[in-house]
Amino acid sequence: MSNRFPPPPRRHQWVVSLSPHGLLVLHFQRGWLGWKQAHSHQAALPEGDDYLPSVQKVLKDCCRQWKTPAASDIYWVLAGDIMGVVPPAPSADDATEPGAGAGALLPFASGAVLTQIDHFGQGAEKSLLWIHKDWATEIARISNACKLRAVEIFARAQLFQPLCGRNKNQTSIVLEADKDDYFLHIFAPDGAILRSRLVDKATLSDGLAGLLTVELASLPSNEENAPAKRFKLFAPAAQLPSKADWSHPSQALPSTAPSALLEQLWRSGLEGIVLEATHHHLIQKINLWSMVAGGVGLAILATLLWHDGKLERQIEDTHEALRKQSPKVEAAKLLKAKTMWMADVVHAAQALEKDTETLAAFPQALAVFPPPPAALLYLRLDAKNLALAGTGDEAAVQWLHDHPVPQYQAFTDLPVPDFLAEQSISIHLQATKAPPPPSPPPEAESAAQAHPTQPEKAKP
Amino acid sequence: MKRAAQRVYREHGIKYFAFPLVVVLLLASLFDEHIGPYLEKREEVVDQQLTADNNQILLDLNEKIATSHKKLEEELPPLQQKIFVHDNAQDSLQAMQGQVRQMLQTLYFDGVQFADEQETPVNTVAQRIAFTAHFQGVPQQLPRLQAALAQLPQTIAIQNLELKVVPDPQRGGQQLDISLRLSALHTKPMPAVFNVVAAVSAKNNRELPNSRK
Repeated sequence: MSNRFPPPPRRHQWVVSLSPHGLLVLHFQRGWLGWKQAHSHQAALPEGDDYLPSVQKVLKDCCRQWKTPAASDIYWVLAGDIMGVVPPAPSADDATEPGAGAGALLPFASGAVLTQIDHFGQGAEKSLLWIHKDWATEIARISNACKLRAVEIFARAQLFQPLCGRNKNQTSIVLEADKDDYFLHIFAPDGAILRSRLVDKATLSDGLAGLLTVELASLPSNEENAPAKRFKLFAPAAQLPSKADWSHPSQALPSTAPSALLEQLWRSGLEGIVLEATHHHLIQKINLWSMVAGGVGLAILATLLWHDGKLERQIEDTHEALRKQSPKVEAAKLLKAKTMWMADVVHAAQALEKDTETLAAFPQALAVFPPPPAALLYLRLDAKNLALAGTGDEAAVQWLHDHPVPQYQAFTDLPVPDFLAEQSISIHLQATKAPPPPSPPPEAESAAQAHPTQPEKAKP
Repeated sequence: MKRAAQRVYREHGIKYFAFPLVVVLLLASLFDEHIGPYLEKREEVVDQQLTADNNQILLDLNEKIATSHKKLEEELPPLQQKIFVHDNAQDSLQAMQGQVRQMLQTLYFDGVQFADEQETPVNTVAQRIAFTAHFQGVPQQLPRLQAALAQLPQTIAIQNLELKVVPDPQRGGQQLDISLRLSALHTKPMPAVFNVVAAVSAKNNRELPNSRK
């Protein structure tokens, strides 16, 4: 029965670059902001029988110093002397998978090597990475001895695939120097690895141009992946050949730190030879997170449905309570409506009662009018104003000024009405009703009783 | 992660990458089916609560309303007799004009004419109805006019009065040309539904003080 749950998240990973005379070890640690490089260590390695024990010793020392947990994943990057590359070759049968043609060119029996198609590039034919099983076993043994888990082996040439994959329509040649070690990598225009090998320092002393000519001539050719006639050389500035020896473009190799190249390869999607598959952890993670999301979603849905049922019961209960309360409420509404109706009628009627006092000023106006020969010809009276016009003399006018109408202010001049314009009118006066004297403020209780529309103001 | 995703895709296609999408779509479908009725129920609960609160406020105020109602029941009948109660304001206006015309004829005023009829709402229940009465008479008739207005069954107020002394072409001499702006109040009859209030409120008043029960 397979384990359906992913292992605990791995927070430590190692990347080791192994060359004939040196070892570069990087330790990556995952934090809240993602993976970051925690440690690095570079060591020189002796030649001969002490080579592999020295590798193991350096790794053990690093393990002890960096205190990484057991069974952390370790990725190996190996040079061309251990990790081989078979360039792309056409297969006999078109139906076979990419790399099948290259497989026929392996130097060992297929059962003695581990292989991996290099998927980099757009070409139909792919190169093939291979490593002898004895080396793979040794790599795994060293890793186990250091309580690490070897998961994948990369070819050193893969460090430069992103750089050379951008040089379309030309074959890229990279000469890489690492202290006293030199590595030659040749890439097809689409970035596929054509060759990756160690170069003796002595060979270089004879001239790089001659070496490159021999290497390029020995590349297998086929229609699709044949080296283009245009070449571009990347090499350390000191090793660049002269224009006379090398007629093709050349460029100094970008001076990127080896650790940066390793980190770039480790973070990329480039694939090496898998010693222990880890991608099924991703499947387990996807399944687990999908199930967690589904579970959380269903839990929320169940809560919603439970609350929905609760709301339904609450609605029924409230509806029943409102139904029982309904007769009282309807009666109260009716009583309120009737009370408001009655209050409106009473208010309007009381307001009208006040207006009936307009004519009360009429006899008073007649009473204060001066005696003959003065004669009243015009009178206008409304709720606020009184206007008089008539014939008479100065004494009559003075009489009216001396005898104002009760509850009215003193007389002032009035423009002579139009229909009297042709007559000799001496009296043309008007007066405004005096404001009522201020009354003491009524008590709150009596005020409430005096305003029957109070319930209207208090309505919700 | 990128390397592992490439390998999963090469070995299994989009099967495993589609799984979370399928889960999310299923959940979205389920939520879409249930969320609408759920939200409607939430709104209904809020509406019911609002109705219950309003009812409670109304019931809490009912005692005060009943007190006001009782007081108004005493005040209204004498006042209601003094206003014109008809189904529409035009009927009230005609009734008012009929009374005024009869009154002026009784007082022997001549040339009675009505103009400038107007209906103005006072509130939602009552309307002021008004018109201008134009007629001729002599000064001795005026005090009797005031007394006659006061004796009319409905209250008719004088908004303004205008007197002009003009020649009397028929009898010689002079006469008064009088313009009176008269106004009264019109309401419709009390709605029949209010008549049941007395019976219902009498029954409920026994229970309302403890209406929270």
